[in-house]
Amino acid sequence: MLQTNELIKVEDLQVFFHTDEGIVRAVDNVSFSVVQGETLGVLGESGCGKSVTARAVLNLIPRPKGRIHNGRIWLARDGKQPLDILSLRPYGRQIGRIRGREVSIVFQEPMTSLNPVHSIGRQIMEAVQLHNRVSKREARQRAMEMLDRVGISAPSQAVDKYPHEFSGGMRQRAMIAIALSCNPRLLIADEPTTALDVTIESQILELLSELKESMDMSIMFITHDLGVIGEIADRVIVMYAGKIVERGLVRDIFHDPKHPYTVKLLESRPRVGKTGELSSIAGSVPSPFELPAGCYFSPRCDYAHERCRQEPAEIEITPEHTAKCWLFSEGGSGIDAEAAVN
Amino acid sequence: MAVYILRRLVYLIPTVLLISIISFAVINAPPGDILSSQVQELEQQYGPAAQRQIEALRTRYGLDQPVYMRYFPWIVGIITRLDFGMSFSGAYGIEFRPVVDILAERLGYTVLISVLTLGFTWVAAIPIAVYSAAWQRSVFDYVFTFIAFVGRSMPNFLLALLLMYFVYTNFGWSLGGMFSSEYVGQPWSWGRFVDFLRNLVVPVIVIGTAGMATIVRVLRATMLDELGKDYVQTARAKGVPEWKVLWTHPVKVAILPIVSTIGWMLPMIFSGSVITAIVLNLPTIGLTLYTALRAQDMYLAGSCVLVFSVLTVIGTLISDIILAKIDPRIRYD
Repeated sequence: MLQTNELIKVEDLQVFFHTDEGIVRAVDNVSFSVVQGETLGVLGESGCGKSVTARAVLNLIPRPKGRIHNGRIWLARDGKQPLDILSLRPYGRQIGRIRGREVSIVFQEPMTSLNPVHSIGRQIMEAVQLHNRVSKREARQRAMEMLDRVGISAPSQAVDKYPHEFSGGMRQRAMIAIALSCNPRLLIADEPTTALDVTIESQILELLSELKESMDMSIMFITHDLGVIGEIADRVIVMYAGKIVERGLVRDIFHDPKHPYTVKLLESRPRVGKTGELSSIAGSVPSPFELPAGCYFSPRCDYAHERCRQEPAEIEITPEHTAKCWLFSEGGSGIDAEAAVN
Repeated sequence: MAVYILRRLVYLIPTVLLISIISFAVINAPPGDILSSQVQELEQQYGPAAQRQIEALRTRYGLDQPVYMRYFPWIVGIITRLDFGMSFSGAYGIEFRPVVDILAERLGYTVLISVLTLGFTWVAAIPIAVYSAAWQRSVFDYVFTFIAFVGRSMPNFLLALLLMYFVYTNFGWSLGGMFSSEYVGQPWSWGRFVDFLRNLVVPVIVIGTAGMATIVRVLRATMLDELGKDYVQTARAKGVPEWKVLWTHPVKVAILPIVSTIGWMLPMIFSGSVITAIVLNLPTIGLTLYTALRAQDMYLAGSCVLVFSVLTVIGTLISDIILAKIDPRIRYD
């Protein structure tokens, strides 16, 4: 189960979507944990299962198409036995006491994540009044405090405004205010800055780091953007086609990437002073209905080998750093990462 | 907001006037209205002996005048004296009767039946639509989808007859008209009131069913749209219980297009109720208009159309005001 200082631990999570064309293994045997006070970055291309993983942590997989087939998600609780979130009924009362209070989420699209016909204040107060025994006036006070805290000016007026009167960046701040209004221990940020322009993005990232410190919480930050990961994460997991291919401290991932996919991702980054055409990863992400046998990345991999027809195990390189690749198993040649990055 | 309502009320005046001109002109367009044929009859029966009476009628009702010369005295009479002209058809007695008396007698029932029907439609349709959408493809959804299609496609008169038969065989109530025979023309009493309510049930269900089916289908579709939106997921992620998520978030958005239909639901109920009114013998304006048109009783028909259009325009205004109240995105300045 949980080790000390682990806040949440995902074990062997499998989420499948049953579509008309067949079964999509959106998340397939994913395990990881979030430690208290850290920011875990989840990196991957669109469709790699990172958002589904995030929603599974709150048991918010859209039914009946999506189904959690296997796995446990342990949540640490003060002085009590850890609780398996997936054992709770998805619409039940118990999960309701975790959502928004212990674990909160901020979605990608600030333009559609807020209810257009309720005022901003009402949407914050809804969470506050649900999880705390407070009067309407106190809840409103709390809403204004939160708006102030996320950097919205004139909170006493903003509290009565409606989403359409806010800009994208302000809406995302309001979403963060809702998510943090009940002091959660874990904030899941599902690409919260993807829809925003770069200046607003850096403001939001700064705000999140600052709130993480002052509110003493952990963040699970999901993104496809390497730059954002570098800015905010302590540890990183890299996902590809529903599986975790590499995990490590942020400096391991950036300076000593092991998995060929991570290496290629880093190579395809634009960098100041680098001239010539940007390199890209040949081929494309496999269709979820025609996954290759063994390692899903092998058809695009420069190091692909006979062995790659079989699924590689997750190999420990250092206690903090693992890669799911045959190159690092016994007898594997490894890759010249130094050369690959430069 | 007050300014907005006031401005909308001012806009009402030209709209209603325009409708009255068009409807009056259309109703008077075909030759052979009831008064002219009565005059002709007098001429044929009594010849020159009735000449004075005929002349009096001609001048009084402007039978020799063009349509617009007859329109102006009519509309001026309505505005200044609430005088809607005379009804000439014998259906309401042998004497000519002021139109205003006929309307006064029937307007109350019409509005009552319409408002009750609208209320019944909404109260029944909204929960059905919301639960059908929330449990899409469940047994509940399929059963009510089926009922909705049947309700939408079954002619009102057939449903009225079936219900009358059902009520008669099961409860022994013989329905028809607003009151059972023993209470007709009696002063109000408790028994009469209960009898009145009993006679209202079937018309309200019959007239309401078709509208209900429409609302169920439309609201179910918009609810399905809204349920897929991110803000619903946001509400769930806050820990809001599912039933509360449903009723406080997507319903409030999905209901908006339905509110805007109040305006045209009212006239649909009036006109849709004509056949039902014939079958159930209800004293509504829809039925009055129908008989007046058949008899070419022009002042009565024109006045009925005018009343309808005023109610429609007011219905639209009410729905616009409600929309402006519940949808913060609507600007009304």
